[in-house]
Amino acid sequence: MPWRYLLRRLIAAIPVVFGVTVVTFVLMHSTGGDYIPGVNYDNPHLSEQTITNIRHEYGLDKPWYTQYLLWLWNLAHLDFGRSMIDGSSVSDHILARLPNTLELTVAAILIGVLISIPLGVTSALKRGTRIDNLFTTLSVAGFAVPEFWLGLLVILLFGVIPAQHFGGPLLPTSGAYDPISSGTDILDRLTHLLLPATVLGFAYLSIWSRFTRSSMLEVLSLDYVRTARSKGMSERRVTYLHALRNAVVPLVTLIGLELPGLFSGGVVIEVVFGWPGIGRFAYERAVAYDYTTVMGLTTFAAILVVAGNLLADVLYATLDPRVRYT
Amino acid sequence: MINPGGLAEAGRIETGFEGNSEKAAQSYWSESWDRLRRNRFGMASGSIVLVLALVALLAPLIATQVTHHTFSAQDLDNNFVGPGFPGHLLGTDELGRDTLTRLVFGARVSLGVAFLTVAMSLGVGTVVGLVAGYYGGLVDDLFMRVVDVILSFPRVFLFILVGILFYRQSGLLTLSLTFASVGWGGTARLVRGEVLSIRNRDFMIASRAMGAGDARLIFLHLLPNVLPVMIVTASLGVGGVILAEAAIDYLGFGIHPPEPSWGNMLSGAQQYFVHSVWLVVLPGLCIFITVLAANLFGNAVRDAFDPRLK
Repeated sequence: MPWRYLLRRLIAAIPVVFGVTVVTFVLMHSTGGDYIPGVNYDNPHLSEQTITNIRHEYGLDKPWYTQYLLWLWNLAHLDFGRSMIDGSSVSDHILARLPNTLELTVAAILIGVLISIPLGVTSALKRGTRIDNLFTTLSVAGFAVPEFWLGLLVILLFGVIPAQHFGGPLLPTSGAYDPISSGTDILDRLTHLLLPATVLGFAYLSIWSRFTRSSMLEVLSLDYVRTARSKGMSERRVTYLHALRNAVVPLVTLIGLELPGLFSGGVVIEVVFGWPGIGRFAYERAVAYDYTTVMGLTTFAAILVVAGNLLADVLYATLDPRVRYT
Repeated sequence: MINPGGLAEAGRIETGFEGNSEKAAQSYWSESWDRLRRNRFGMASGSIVLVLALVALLAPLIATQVTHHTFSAQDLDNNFVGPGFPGHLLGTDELGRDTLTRLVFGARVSLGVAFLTVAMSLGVGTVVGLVAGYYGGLVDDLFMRVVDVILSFPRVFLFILVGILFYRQSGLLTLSLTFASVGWGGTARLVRGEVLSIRNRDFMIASRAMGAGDARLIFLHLLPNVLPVMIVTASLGVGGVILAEAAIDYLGFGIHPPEPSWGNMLSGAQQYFVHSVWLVVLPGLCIFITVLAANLFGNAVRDAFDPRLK
C-alpha cells in the first residue's frame, strides 16, 4: 500500500537526516567552534569577563553535547540557528530565498526533461544513424563542460557582446527580476529565469537523454510493443502512446538521484547569475565566515535533498504499478 | 556479473574442446587490454590525459625552459595582451602574468587533486565495500547507512563549509581529502554490490572449506574479482572531480591566489570580460578538454573491462 510504503521510507530517511546533522556539527565543532567573527581573543582591551559574556551569549560555554542537543532541538522546530554576524534567523533567510531557488531548480529540471526526452527518443528511433551518433557525441561533450564556465560564456554571448554592439543585452543575465518591477511582472521573471535555468539544466541533458535513449530501446524490444505492432497499430501510436510512457518512468528516479548534484550546481549557477537564492546566500555568508549560517543552510539543503529523493521514490512507485511496496 | 576467473576458465575450456582453434586462450586481463588497445579513440583520449599529466608533473621545468616566466611574475607594462604576443604565447592577465605558465601550473592542481581524490576514494571505498559486502548483516547496514548520509549531502555546501573551516590549510591535499571524504560512498556501494554477487560462488565456498580465513578470502579471492569495477569507477571518476574542483576554486574556497588553478583563474578573469575574453575562454577550454579526454578514456576503459555495461 502506498501509505505504508511512504511511512516506511520516511522512517528510513530519519537516520540519514540525523547523520547529516552529526557530520555538520562535528565539522563545525572540531575547527571553528570557538570562533566568533569580529571578536579577536588576543585583543588586550578585551577583559576576561567580556569574553566569558560573549561566549555565554553564543552558548559556547556549554559542553558540546548540550550544544548539539540544543541545536537539534531547534532544528526539530524548524529553527536553523542564528547568524554569527548579525544574529538574524537563518530560517527567515531560508524562507525569503527558498522560492527563488525552487523556481530555478524546477525550471532547470523542466528544461532538461523537455529537451532530453525528444533527444533520447530520436536517438533511440534512429539508432546507429548519423543523428544518433551526433547526439551521442554532443552528450559526451556536454558532460565535460564546466557549468559555471558555460554560464560565463552565455553571459558573454547574451549580455556583454549585445550590450557592446547593439546597445543592450539580449536577455537579462543577473538577478531574478528587474528591481524596478519588484518581481511582480511574470514575463520579466521568466526572461530572467531563462538563461540560468537553461545552463543549470544543460548539465543534465547529456545524462537524461542517454538514459531516455537506452530506456526507450529496452522498452521497444518488449513483448507488449510487439503485440501492439502485430495488432496493426501505427508505428507512431506504438512509439508515443505505448513505449514512451513506460520508457520515461525510470527517469523520475534518476532525477531524484541527481537532486544533490542539482542543488550543488545550483549554488555555482546562482553565484554566476546573481540569482537571489539559497546557494548564493550561502556563498555570500561563507565569504564573510558566517559559520553558523552556512552550517544551518547545509543542513537545510541536505534535508531538502533527502525529501526530494523520497518524493522521487514515492512518485516512481505510484507511476510504475510493477513496483512492489516492500 | 563479471568474473575474470570464470571468463578465463570458460575460454580455456572452449579452446580445449575445439582443439584446432587458432586463437590462443587469453586471460581476462589480456583480453580486456586488447579490447582497450583496439579502441583508437579511447587510446587517443588516454594519451591526451597522459600528456596533460606529464605537463602537470613537469610544470616547473616548462616554466623555466619553455615559457621563461614564473606563474606569479608580473609584467605590468604588458598586461592584458592577447594570445600571440611575443614573449607571452597565450597573453597575460591583469597583472601581466603569463597565461600559459599559469595554465600549466593549473593543470597541476586539477590533475593532482583528481588523481589523489580518486586514489583515496578508491582505497577507502573498496575496503568498506569489501567488508560490508563480505560480512553482511549489521556491519553492512551500518556502513550503507553512512554511505546514504554521504551521498545525500549537497556537495558544494559541504565543500564550502570545509573550505572556510580549513581556510588556512587550503591546498592540494586538503581539497583531495575533502572530495574523497564524500567520493568513497559511490565506490563502496558499487564494490559492495559486486561482492554480494560473488561471495556465495562455488570458488568462495570451496576456499572457505579448505580453511581460508576472512582476510585471505577478502583480499585474495574477492579483491581480484572486484578489480574491474574499481578500474572502471576510477577512470570514470577523474572528470567529475576536475569539474567539482574547478567550481570550488571558482567560488574561492579551494586553491587561493596567487597560486593559479583553472578555477580561480576564471573567477579572477570574469571582471575583465568586456575587453579580455581570452582570459575567460582559455582556462575553461583547458577544463573542458581535460574532462572530455578523461571521460572518453573512462568510457573506453569501461567498454573494454566491463563489456556488459556497454
